Amino acid sequence: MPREIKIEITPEGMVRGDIAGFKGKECRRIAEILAKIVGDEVSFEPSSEYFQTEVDLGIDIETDR
Amino acid sequence: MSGIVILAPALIAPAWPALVSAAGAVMVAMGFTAVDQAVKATQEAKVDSQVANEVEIDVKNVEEVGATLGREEELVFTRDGISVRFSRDVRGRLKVCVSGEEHSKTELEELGRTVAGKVVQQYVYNRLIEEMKSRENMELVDQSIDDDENIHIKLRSWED
Repeated sequence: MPREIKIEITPEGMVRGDIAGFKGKECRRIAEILAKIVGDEVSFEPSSEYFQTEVDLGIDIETDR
Repeated sequence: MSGIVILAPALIAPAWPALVSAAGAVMVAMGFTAVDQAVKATQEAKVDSQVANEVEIDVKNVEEVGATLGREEELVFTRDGISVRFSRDVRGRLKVCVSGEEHSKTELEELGRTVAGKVVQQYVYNRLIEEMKSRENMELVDQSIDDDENIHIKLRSWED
């Protein structure tokens, strides 16, 4: 699954980052990295995918291929 | 969609070479030409004798420029009788000085603020692409500039 960040940078240097494909804490981690690069975080608005968690079912699947 | 983050630029001790690179890209795109040090001295003398209007713009969201910039170093561009000079002030902050004989101070100040903003925009653009590539292995897959001069970029990586 692709992980994408759509970024808009205004002529004054303000940044809006639309983070997609990163689940849970990964999304927040990416937002913090962007903040470190650009400067100060003004706001962060999580979407429904943010609240998804990665679950390890403990099942290994092997195929002949 | 996972989340939307809004960020304000606050460039802490940016390295002079990176700012030079951003300023150069912006000024060339705006039709300005870089002036070398020898020519600059002649032009400054000429401008002084013509009593040109001059305004200084503090670039507020750029903290102290990295020590790679000496106090005497500056970067100068010209176009149609307007001179734009980037330098470091006594506090170590980035300063943009715009002068021109046939332009009002209001016009020069507007140009200076536009230039200062665009340099920050270009610097942020360069840093985002470089840092997200090195930290997260994200590649630039699309970019564009809209009618309001906002830069749009799309970075992508694939889940392991």
